[in-house]
Amino acid sequence: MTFSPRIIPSLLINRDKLIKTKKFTDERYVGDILNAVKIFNDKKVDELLIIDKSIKTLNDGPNFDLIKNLSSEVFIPLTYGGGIRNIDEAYRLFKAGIEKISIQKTFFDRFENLRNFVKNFGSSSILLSIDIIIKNNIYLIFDSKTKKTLDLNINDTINKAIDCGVGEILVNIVNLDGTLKGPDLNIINHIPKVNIPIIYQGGINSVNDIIAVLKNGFHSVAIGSLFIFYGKYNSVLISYINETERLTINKNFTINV
Amino acid sequence: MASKIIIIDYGLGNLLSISNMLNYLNIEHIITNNPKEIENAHKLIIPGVGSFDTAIYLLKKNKIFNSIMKAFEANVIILGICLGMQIFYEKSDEGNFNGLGILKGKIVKFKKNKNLIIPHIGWNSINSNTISEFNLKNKKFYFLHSYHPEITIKHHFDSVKYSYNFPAVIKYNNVFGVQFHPEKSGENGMQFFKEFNLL
Repeated sequence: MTFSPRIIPSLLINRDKLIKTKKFTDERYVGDILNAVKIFNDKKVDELLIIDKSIKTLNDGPNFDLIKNLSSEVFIPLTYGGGIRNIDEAYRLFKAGIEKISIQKTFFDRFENLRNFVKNFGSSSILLSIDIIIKNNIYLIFDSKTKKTLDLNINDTINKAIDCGVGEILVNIVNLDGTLKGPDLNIINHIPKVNIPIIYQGGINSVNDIIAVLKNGFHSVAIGSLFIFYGKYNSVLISYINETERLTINKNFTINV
Repeated sequence: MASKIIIIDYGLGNLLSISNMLNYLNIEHIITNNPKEIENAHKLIIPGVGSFDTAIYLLKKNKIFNSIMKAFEANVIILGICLGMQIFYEKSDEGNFNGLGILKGKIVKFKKNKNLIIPHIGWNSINSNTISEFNLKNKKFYFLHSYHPEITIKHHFDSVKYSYNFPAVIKYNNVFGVQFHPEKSGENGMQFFKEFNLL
């Protein structure tokens, strides 16, 4: 019996709009988020990751009405991140139909916050997302809000998060965001070897890229542009891996359980 | 005629996801935290995304803990989903509080082996078919958990393999539990709720 890695479409939103960035800037409007989510539901994706990066959300907390609307349209697992400031907001998100929450800033502000989330919701519902920027071959943690690097060691931060009980970690490479240039396989040497799921995101452009990332030591992949755009003019076309591609991935990489 | 289902709102869990799927299937249900309504239900669903102690604390705080016990004794069909199933047991490695104790035994953390990734997150297949009320064998469902029921001989179960086989579906008299999330398992989840509705 084998256990398949998850292939997770990763969607960025600003208010109720689906957007896509390049290297965390150049925000481009892609379409209606509700419509996109419905299409991914029809394509039976493994999971869907939705991150709200709007300023309003960061100041006022998650857009619960939108999240309720989104979750009422789908029968697939949803992870939500963006502006989650406290336990009460997390309760409301789960109630609205979210299975996992992705946190970042609230953890970097105070590591112990994570422990509190885990105490209430269990490890498996809490994902920590870390944005990593590569500068002169040095890997640094990036704060997408201030656009500055944080004075935190990647190894220490991940180990600390695991110590606080986080269930899963997403590593997103800022330099490769929206580029479709292929993944950074060197990142694996800059993060500790752990036994919780680690998801890779950044630059993936093909099934071969997915396989390379998984063989490299990641347990799942999150993918933006490849599942949103199509062709050399980057026309908007929502897509997902098909059955043949799934088989190819599973043939080349399985988690032995 | 299928009877009305109550989804228990005790403060934890993705209630609306379950409700959405039942709505989609035209299965009549209500969401409530009213202890009297819960005691007098025809069928109960206990959702759960959260930690064991938080669930027990909230069930007691909302005066629902005893209502579920009364419903169990009155032979109401009860379905627990994920954490909502784990609270049927006496204890859990995840916390200190006592569970409902309807099922003997406890909830244990995945046994570590060197390469095993925990939590168990993703789609996995049920590999047996002991519980005849549901047609689950070889179907994939979405799992998201670090703890699971220990294997006891006191009740029926169907298993899933992640490193080793453990109970993914359990049945004891009028009580059913699933470790996976049918409400997030697409068409297989829909079929599961259709079968639950016919019980």
